[in-house]
Amino acid sequence: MNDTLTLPTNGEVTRAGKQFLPRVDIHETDQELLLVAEVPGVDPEGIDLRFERGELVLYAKVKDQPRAGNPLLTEFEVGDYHRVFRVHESIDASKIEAELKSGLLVIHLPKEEQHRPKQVTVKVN
Amino acid sequence: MRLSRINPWSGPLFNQLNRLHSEMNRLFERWPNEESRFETFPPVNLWEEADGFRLEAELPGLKLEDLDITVTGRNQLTIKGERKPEVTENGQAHRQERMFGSFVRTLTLPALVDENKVEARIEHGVLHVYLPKHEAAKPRKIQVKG
Repeated sequence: MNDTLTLPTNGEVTRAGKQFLPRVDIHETDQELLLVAEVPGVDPEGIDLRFERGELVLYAKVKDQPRAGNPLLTEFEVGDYHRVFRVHESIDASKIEAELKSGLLVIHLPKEEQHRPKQVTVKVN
Repeated sequence: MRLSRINPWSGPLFNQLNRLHSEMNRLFERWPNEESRFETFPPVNLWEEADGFRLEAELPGLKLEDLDITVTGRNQLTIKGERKPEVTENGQAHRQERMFGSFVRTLTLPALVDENKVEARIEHGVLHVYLPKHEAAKPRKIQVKG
């Protein structure tokens, strides 16, 4: 598979508590890589997003709310999210932007200018 | 008999197997696997309290106005909506793990609720619904005359 973004093969999780891999969509256009991750239950303060050594590292911390009462249905577990992506494309790290929209983290990774495809106009005599 | 004291489900070999087993489980739990894509949506946690029911559902990307939440027959809660793709522009998809399309989920509660007092809100992609029990369904303390 010719993925621009792949998961690293090494690396151990060293944080306490339950952790989940968020589901993501990754989309590439001429201008950027667009990553959309599902992080329900996380507020903006809970997001820790870094781009270092060609890796995009996402930690998302869920607000812990203790629950009382008698559980009738338990279909999902609450825990933090963690996922690392290796970025092969040349990304302009200073222009990475992220936005949290109702439990969706939308990350724009713009490509470096010189790596964007350029339109060349061919003159015809 | 001394032999009967030996537990076949312990000992170093079994411990190793056990550890391998839980290690494998842990590995697969962390992966958003193919099968889980076809599970009931949205996933729901439901608790019963003395005076009502508390529900939480994971609905990332959805707002309250995108949802249709109804209570019928005083004990059936229905959540309806549609998940729309976030990315619509042209380009190449590298990963597509999120699901799209319409969904309906109906839950039958084990007691009658007061449908006029149901409260719903969405916080960071998690739906919270509180359904207070109907007066007749609330637990009642009975005074015992001495």
